[in-house]
Amino acid sequence: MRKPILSGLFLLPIAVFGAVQLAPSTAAAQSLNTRDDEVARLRSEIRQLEQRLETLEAIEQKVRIIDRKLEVQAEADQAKAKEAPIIKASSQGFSISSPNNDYRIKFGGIIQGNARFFTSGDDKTGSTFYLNRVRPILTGTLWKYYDFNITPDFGLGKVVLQDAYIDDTMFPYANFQVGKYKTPYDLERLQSDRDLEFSQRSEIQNLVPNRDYGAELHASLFDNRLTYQIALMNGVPNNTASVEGDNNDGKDFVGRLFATPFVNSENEWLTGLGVGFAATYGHEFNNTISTYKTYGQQTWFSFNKGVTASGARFRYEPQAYYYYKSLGLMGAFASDEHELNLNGTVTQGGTPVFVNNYSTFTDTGYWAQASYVLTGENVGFKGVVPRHPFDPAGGTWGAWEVVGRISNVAVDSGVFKLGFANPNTSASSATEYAFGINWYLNQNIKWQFDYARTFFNGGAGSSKKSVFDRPDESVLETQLQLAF
Amino acid sequence: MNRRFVAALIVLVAALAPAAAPRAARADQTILNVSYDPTRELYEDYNAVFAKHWKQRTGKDVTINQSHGGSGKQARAVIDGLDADVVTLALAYDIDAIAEKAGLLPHDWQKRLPDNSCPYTSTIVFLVRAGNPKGIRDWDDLVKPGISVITPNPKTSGGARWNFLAAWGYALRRNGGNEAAARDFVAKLYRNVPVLDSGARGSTTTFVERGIGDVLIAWENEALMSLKAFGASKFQVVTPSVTILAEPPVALVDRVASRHGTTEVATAYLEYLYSAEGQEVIARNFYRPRLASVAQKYKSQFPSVPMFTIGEAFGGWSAAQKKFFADGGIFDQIQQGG
Repeated sequence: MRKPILSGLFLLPIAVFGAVQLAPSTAAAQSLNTRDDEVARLRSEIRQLEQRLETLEAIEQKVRIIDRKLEVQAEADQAKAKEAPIIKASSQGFSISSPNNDYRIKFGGIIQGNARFFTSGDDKTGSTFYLNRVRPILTGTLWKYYDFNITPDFGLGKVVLQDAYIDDTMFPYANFQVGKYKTPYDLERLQSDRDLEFSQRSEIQNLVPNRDYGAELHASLFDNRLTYQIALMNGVPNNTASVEGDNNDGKDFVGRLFATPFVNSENEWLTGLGVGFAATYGHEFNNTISTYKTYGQQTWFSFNKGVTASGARFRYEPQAYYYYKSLGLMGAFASDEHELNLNGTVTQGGTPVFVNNYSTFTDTGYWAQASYVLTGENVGFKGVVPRHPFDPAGGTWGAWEVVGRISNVAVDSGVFKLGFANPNTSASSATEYAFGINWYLNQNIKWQFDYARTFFNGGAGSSKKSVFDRPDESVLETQLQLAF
Repeated sequence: MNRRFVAALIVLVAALAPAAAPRAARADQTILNVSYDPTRELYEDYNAVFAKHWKQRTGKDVTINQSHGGSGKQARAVIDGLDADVVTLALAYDIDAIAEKAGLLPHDWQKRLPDNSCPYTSTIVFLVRAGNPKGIRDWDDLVKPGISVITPNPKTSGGARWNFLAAWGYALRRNGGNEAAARDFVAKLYRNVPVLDSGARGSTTTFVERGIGDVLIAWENEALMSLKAFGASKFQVVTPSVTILAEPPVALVDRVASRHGTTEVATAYLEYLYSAEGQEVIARNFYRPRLASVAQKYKSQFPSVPMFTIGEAFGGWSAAQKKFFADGGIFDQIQQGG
């Protein structure tokens, strides 16, 4: 629109000039008055055109202002959108976070439905369907640095607070965690429940602590090549699911170093290697003494009545894992040295005798496990992610994995000699062999099929010449897990 | 016993590991300068100069990241967790807010560096189109009917607040301290504003690139930079008869820098702004330097004009903020036609 008007403005003076120049040649035919009228008319047209131009320019300015206002509004909307919370729902769970991720909350959970059947052994009544874990998991972050975790558990027909802690991550080289959480000690225990290769952990759990209350400094250093954890915990008996409160003033010092020196290496043969060492030391008094259990959760060793913790406890565990593509290997050796007090009556040579003995015993155990993913997915400490989820219509079957392990615990022979345990009812060692097949239907659903057989030394009465072994325990267990 | 020794060793190594790691990580450092809108070019220039200076002084490399936006918005971002090692904002009030609301630096932060922690100053001028077709000479011309004035939103922009206060201060002086007249004057001025951008750089874009408006009320440095970029054939700077002395402050964000282990380099970063080399960079980017020798060198660039300070005219930033720019304050009332 504007160009023709401008062109007209340029042409008008030329036309006027032309008219004036032509005037002399037609002077004879035109009167002076006619020329003046023509000039006046043209001047009027120019004024009108100038007014129209001004109007158009004003309109153009208004259009520009509207355009800019829209632009500014769009910028404001964009800025506002950046401040809007981000809501996610995926196989990773359900979460809400601020745009900068400084504030976030995640709703997760794990449900494990199990069926356990004893095919041999002492127990004839333990075959059962049950819920192993039913845990809503609430995790999140406040003010960028303050992580939290609240995990109750409704499994096994009980309500237990499994985890509840605050983790201050402000100083990346010294994160500070306070609350109730897994004691930073045993490798198998520290593997997330959802990622376990078997429905039940191994025999070595009889020698290591589970969750406890305390405070911990921890971090991954040197580009995740070294992880350290150093903690002061209440100190709990071994393999107890949840101990509330602390009945003595002694506390456990716990330290763990775990190195993955080649984690950033390009050599794929080495990246999955991890080795570590952990130890606990503390004084425990009057704690309930834990009993030792089998894969099928049957008690194979317990101390006599009147035995309590009564002094120093020292545990240590060298531990390692190795992952290469579909192959996974894990293992640890555990030692538990603890001072106990027997204050009660024992039978010696058929005669009841009152004793008050203090002695230190050392129980040891080991655990080794191998896994292989038949469908080719990589395996790691954080489990297996199926390449193709189970979809019969699409011809994909998830991921399949075979696993096997051996684990053993040997009780210090002194406990029997000194009357702290009864060899007729408690075995002196247990060795478990377990095999399993795991079917990962997708990232969230896993179906496990385990067979575990445990052999014992002693624990089933005795004659003058020998101690009889407790019958082997054979268990078939299947577990369907949903975790997100 | 040996096993206990091994355990103790493990605990000891685990305890010492975190202490050793940060030292290793401190060899090359990165700091974040959270600044206001029009300082992009200044700090791009200065960062290069400082990094070179720091390397010469310590042998270490330093990377300086920048973040720019409306001064008020930037302060809120730091309060909400943006990890600024240093802030270089448009006005002291915004840094006060960081000290008060987030406690990231002490309340007396302004006493820690010379000149109330303001290593450079600027002022408020007009940028008009070449030939000054609307004949704009002073503040009075901005309230005439038909004059289109470009200035950002004082609710989000520090520069806009300086603009507002400069206009108010002028009107107050012209009307013998009559507040009602000043309010009427400023209300008329904002009625002539067709677009309120969120920051000073946005207003420059509106005026210079989008071709909107007859006059841009701008930081002197922003006006001179536009003149340099587009030439006198497009724009010219008009200095009003009286204006305000703008003093943009700088500060170390103690708690963030301490957490990052960058206190030393961040402090040096701010201190070097006062050096001859730093002041030269400042003047080159059209901010008025504090150092007399550099000011003398760039004298022709900065015309002498009567200026009043925020303290003289308004009793300081806190009072001005509360009166004019707080929710329900005079600016809100003007915008609502009150």
